[in-house]
This record gives sequence, C-alpha cells and structure tokens, in this order.
Amino acid sequence: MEWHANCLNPLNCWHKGVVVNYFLSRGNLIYRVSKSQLHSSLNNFFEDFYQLIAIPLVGIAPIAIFIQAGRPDLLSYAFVAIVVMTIGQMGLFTGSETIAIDKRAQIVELIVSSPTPYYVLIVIRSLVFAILGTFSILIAWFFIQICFSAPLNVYHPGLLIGSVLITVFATAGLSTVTSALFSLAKNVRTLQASINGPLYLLGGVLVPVKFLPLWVSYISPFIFFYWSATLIRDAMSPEVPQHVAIRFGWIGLSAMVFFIVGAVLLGRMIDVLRREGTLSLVE
Amino acid sequence: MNMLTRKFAAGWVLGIEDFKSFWNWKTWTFGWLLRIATTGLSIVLIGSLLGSRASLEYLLIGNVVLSGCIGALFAVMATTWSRLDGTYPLLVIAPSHPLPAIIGRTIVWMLQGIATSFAVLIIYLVLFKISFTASQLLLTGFGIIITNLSTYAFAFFLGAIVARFPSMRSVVFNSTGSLLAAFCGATVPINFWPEIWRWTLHFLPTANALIAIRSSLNNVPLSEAYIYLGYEFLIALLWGGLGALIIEYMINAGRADGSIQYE
Repeated sequence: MEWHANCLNPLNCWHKGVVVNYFLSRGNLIYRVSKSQLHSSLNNFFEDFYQLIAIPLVGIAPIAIFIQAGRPDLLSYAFVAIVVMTIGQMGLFTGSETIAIDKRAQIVELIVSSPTPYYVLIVIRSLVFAILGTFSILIAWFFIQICFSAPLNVYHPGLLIGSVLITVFATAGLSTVTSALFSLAKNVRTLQASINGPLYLLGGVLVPVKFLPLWVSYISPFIFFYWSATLIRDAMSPEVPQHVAIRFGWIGLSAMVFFIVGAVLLGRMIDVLRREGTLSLVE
Repeated sequence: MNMLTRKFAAGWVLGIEDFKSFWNWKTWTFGWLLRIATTGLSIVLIGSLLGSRASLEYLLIGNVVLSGCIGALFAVMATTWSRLDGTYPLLVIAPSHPLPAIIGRTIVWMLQGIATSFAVLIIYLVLFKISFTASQLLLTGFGIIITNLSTYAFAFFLGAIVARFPSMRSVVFNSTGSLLAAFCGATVPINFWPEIWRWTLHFLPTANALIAIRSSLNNVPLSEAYIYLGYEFLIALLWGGLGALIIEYMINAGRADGSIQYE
C-alpha cells in the first residue's frame, strides 16, 4: 500500500482509490485462485474429490446401527461424524495434496517465482477444499432423512452454521501445516491416510470422548475437531448450549496457530529448496 | 517351472515392490494398522454409547473382519497399476495369458488383509478382554482367511472394471469398504435391510463368513458355521471368475479399438 508522499500523518491520508484497489486486487486474487483450483479439480473430479463421495458413505453404518438399536435420538452423532470427517478429509487431506498436485503438473517453480507468495495460494486452495467439504451437510441430511426416513432436528441453526464455518477455517489452517510437512514426504497419501483414524477417534467425532478411557480426555481438548464435534452436537440438541464462545475461541485460536506455523514451515521449506536448487527435484 | 508359474512369480515380485513402496514395517504398524484399528474402534465403541455389551461384541467381530477387507481392497488399485505403468500391452503380447501376472502382482494385498485382521483381532481381544475357545478361534481364523480371499476376488473384479477408468480407482477403493461395512452384516444384521436386498447382499464378500463366525460364537453347531464358510468360498470363486472374464473382455476391447496402452 502507498500514501501521498507529502502527507504528514499516513493514517489520515489513505488514498481512497489505493484502499479500494488493494481490496479489489486481493479479491481478484482469491477469485482467480479459487476458480483455477476448482477448474483443475473438476477436470480431475474422482482424483481430487473422491473424499467428498467416499467419506459420507462411512456414516451409513452408524446411522444403520442407531436405527436398528431404536435410538434415533443418536442420529445427530452420525450427522456430526459425517460432516466433521468430510470437512476434515477434504480440507486437511485433499488440501494437503495441493503441493503434490503442483508437482505433478510441474508448476512449482513457476508458482514460487511468481509475485504472490506460495503460502497465500495454499491457504486459498485449502479453504476451497474445506468449503466444498460442507456439502457433506446435504449428503448427511439426505442419508438420514431421505434414505432412512429418520428424524433429524436442528435446534440451533445459527450454532450449526457458525460451528461448520469455524471448522472449515481451522481445517484450512491445519491443511497449510500438513501441506508444508507432507510436501517433503515421498508418499503423501500414505501419510495422510494414516493420521485420520487416531485424529477422529481421539477427537470424539463419532463416539464422545467420555466413552473412551480417561487418559483420552486429557488429549482431546488439543484436537480442534473435538470442539467442533461438541458444538455441532449441541446445535442438534434441544438444550441451551453452554460455553459456546470459549469453544469458538479455542477453535479460532487453533486456526490462527496453524496458519502461522504453516506460513513459517512453508517459507522455510521453500527457502531450503531454493538454496539447494532442488525445487524441481522434490519427489 | 512352467510359463504360468513363472508369470505369477514375476507378478509377485512386482507386488512385493508395490507393497514396499507403500509401507515398511514401521509405517505399516504405526501408520496403517493404527489407522485401521482406531477407525474400527470408533465404530466398536458405539456399543458402549448404546450401553450394550452385546452390541459392542457384535461390532467388534464385524470390524475385525472388515479391517482386513479394507486391506485386501488395495487390490482394486493394484489391478489398475499395470495399465497406468503402460505395461499392459507387454502383458497382452506375451505368449501366455496375462492373468497369472496380474494375480501375482495383486494378491499381496490379500495377505495384507489377512495380517491386518489377525492383528486387529488380537488388539481388540486384549482391549476388551474377550476370550474365545480354541474351536471358535480356529473358525474365526478360517473365516478371516476366506473372507479376505473373497474380498480380494471382489477387489479383482472391481479392479478389472476400474482398469478401464483408472481415475475412479481411489473413489471405488475408499467407498467399497464403507459399503461392505454397512450392508454385509459387519455393523447391522443383513435382516435389517429391505427384504428385496437381502438375497443380493449374500452374494457380496464378508456376508456369509460373518454369519459363520457369529454362529460359532453363539454356540451354533460348528458344522453349520463351516457350511457358511463354504458359501463364502464359492462367492470368492464367483467374483474371481467374473473378474477374469472382465479382464479378458477389456483386453480384447482394448486391442480392438487400440486403447490398450492408454488410460
């Protein structure tokens, strides 16, 4: 940004056009990056979006178990699992593959040498994947209400929307961290596929943590999916939810930490690769 | 060694290399096995959520079997790799049939499935303090092996189709396990599903073996349980045979329109 050279107090002298241009150019960047990611992923639909189809199917078994056991009141648990796991998988795992996708297309050097930081592109693209994960709300609703003709009540729709949005945000943050870490790994999918089971189990995404051994309850609060799951579960419970702001704050804080760590890691990674001249050689 | 055995052996060597490119013993144990055991635990613990020990044990047995099947389903992807590697035309123009090489390359994933199921069985038995009699354990062991064989055969069938559409391999691999878990008696009895589906579901892998294993645990005469294992074996032959026919058809179609070497 710039201001008039002869202005004594820059805060009073923001040139209106400059500010507008700044936001327009940032908006344009987000629009163009999102569009090109969507365009390339849609052309490669079953490779890039397979989680969007495969993960909701995991939820059919719990739905069937709850209905067979005569506990339709627990269907919201299956709903939570489908939504959180799909957003998680889409954002965290597919988003993490953005660097792998770029390597496959042999455009890493081009991106790194372009004026926009790679990190900014990774954040936008991770967000695109995580946002697409919210389609799971419709899929979960379709499974429960249409396929199984079972009741699914949302008592606090605002809380549901807010919880899903903050989960998307935090997932994109985590995705930037993992994308930096995994970009140095040889077999990205092997790594990605390995951490989801423990993450969702310890996060109490399907079965609440109180049904797990006591020691798990000391770990779970550090996994933001735990807070997301409790918030979405509360949105589907008639009782008035408690401590909403703290839980939102914790997820938001996790997101900020992830974004900062992701920026540092990615910056370092690219520095090392540029210095050694191995940018195009990373397997 | 005759030609077919040699081809199988060559495929097997490649299969072992495929396996090594995915896992070493550390990543297999602390990556794959941990992931499968914990994913299954999420479902098994629904039994605790429902407050029913019977549900928990039902889901536990289902997940032990299913865990292995997910491992064996890697064969869906493995069947497409020869096509992606561009070596399909070489397999086809070789003097003997390509099937032994394809089976040799993919069957390693069946062994992964068997190992996974046994490992998960041991983990869950220790975690939930469940004891089996020797005969129950023997039948469960046989059940695990035959289920993985039938799942492998099913994966081979799916892989034969997916080889024509390789971009679908991830979605087919990842979805099939969840669908088998829901519909084949691992999580709810097949009777839960509409009557019109039940008959068909018995033709899918795991359905009959799970009935056999559950029967033995409920002290139904073992002979009856072994009959269901026999059905599971027939299902394996059925899907394996269908897979072989489809590969034959795909090869002929690929040769006819010149697309055999392309994705």
